[in-house]
Amino acid sequence: MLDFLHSRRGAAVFLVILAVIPLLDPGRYWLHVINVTMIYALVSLGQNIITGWCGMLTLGQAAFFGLGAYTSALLSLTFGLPFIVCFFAAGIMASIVGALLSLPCLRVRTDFLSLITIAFNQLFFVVANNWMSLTRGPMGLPQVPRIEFFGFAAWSATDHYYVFLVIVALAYFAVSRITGGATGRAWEMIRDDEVAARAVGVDVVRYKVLAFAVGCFLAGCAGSLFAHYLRLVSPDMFLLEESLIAMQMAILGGLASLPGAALGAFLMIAIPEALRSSEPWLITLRPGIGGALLVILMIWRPHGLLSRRNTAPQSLRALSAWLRRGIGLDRAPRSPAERDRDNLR
Amino acid sequence: MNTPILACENIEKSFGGVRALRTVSVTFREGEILGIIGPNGSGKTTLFNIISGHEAPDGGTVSLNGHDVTGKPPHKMAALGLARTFQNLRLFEGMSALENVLGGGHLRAPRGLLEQMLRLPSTAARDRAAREEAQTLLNAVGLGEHARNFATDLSYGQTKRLELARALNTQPRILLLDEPTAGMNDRQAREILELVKDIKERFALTLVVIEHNVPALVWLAERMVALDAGEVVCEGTPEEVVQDPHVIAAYLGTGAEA
Repeated sequence: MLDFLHSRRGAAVFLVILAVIPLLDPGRYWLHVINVTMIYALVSLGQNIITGWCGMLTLGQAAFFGLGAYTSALLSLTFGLPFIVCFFAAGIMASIVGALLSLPCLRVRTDFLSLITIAFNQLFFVVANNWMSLTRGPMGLPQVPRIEFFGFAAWSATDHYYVFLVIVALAYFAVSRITGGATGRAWEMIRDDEVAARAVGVDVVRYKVLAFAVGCFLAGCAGSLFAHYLRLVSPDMFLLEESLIAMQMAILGGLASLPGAALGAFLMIAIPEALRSSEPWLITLRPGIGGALLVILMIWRPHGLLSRRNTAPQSLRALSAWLRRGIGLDRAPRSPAERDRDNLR
Repeated sequence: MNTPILACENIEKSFGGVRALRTVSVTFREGEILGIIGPNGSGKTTLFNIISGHEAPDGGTVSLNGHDVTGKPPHKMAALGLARTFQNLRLFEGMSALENVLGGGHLRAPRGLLEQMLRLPSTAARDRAAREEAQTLLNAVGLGEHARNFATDLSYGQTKRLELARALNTQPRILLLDEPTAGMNDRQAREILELVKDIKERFALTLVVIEHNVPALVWLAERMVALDAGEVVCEGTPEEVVQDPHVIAAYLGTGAEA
């Protein structure tokens, strides 16, 4: 099953199903739920590159999502630039800022990286909330232009659906090529053992910055789609809570797994959104529920649901081992002397 | 055979108050098998770390083919043809055996983002060739059937072999092995050293081996260096070194203490 999901055939089947959904006329509301999920599937993918492939626990993806949204909205509102230009500008802007932020961060241990990125997220919110002349603060930026390119304008939920489907599918395809190539392998080597990665010729700093650049590019592009789809940008859309959710998407869905990244977005966005009217508490308690699920998952599958192998970063592996020992599932690790004795036997 | 390929001159390294290496000079000759022995804490691994760039020396120079490479980062040293294994295994646990070996070929793989995204037939062909090469190396170390297994599913002896295959896939000219037989019984140790010797001939390597198993190293090495307390105490043929009074004293203590 997992192998099928990760195969080219699995991806094709999934894509066909998604392409057929609007033809079954599910109604505007359900299409909207999937549209938002597809946008977040890009955020989830970006987070998964940084955390799942490269093993860095970054907790600031909402800031890059927001940076993309604001960049795109401001460029189109202020300068009337076409959507396509704003879209790529948003990605590039987030990518550059992400790469610059990662540079000093790479000098610290991975748990401090989380703290620094949390701080960045808060900083982004404070700036967006207070720079009245640029962002209009808490009032946000309304009337962001529609998605339009090459004479096509997206009006209905179905229009947006197909635009997002094409963009997200292309992004997943491009990422699958990178993660299946030498770059993805270099990221995984860094995640599993930096010292050994260096010894086989991997320029660790360069590849970590690259992971940030690509991951934040995707978040920025998603931000642009979000801004032009909802046609409104406001600071409270990019709170730290959203970063937590992005991290939970990556881990719950499956680290270093493309179907895992998509599943993460489905679990954290589609389900709560779909139940928004009947079960409003699901949205409110979402980060808490995600966190509780994570703790449970840490015990059995620290690498997440759809990952085919143990792709958890070192810190999550350690957390998992600690939890398992704590509840008595594993005994304490053998000492080197014990191991030697067993090996010699 | 006798041209120096790698030379360490007056290497010094301290950790806090501990002087791990004090003015160590060793020359490595092209195509030889050099064994390094010494009691625990004598600075063998530190010397390896300095050569491979994982640690910077406090003083002294490392030169490769006559060029100063002191303090170059490990990935640059790898590009210059230096590979190593680690005393405590360092495998990529989230990757299969084949991928571990493929990782060793990082520097030869297509690495441009656009190149990978487009994956033109030429790129795909390079990838396929790399996979075949990696499989050949796995076969060479006797892990041919374990290509899809994960590093965590292999036995201890197999993981040692896998690390060797990964190092070989960087296509090194110099290979540093840090205790290749640690934690093995005599039979396993013998097997792995025979493999090492065979590989050294096949790939025309310069081989440097740290080993605690002195008889095994005497069998393997053409020349030996003995370290004690951060200093070279003896250098010569294996027979000379193991009979040297300094070396015996370092391992067994002096008569006065006994």
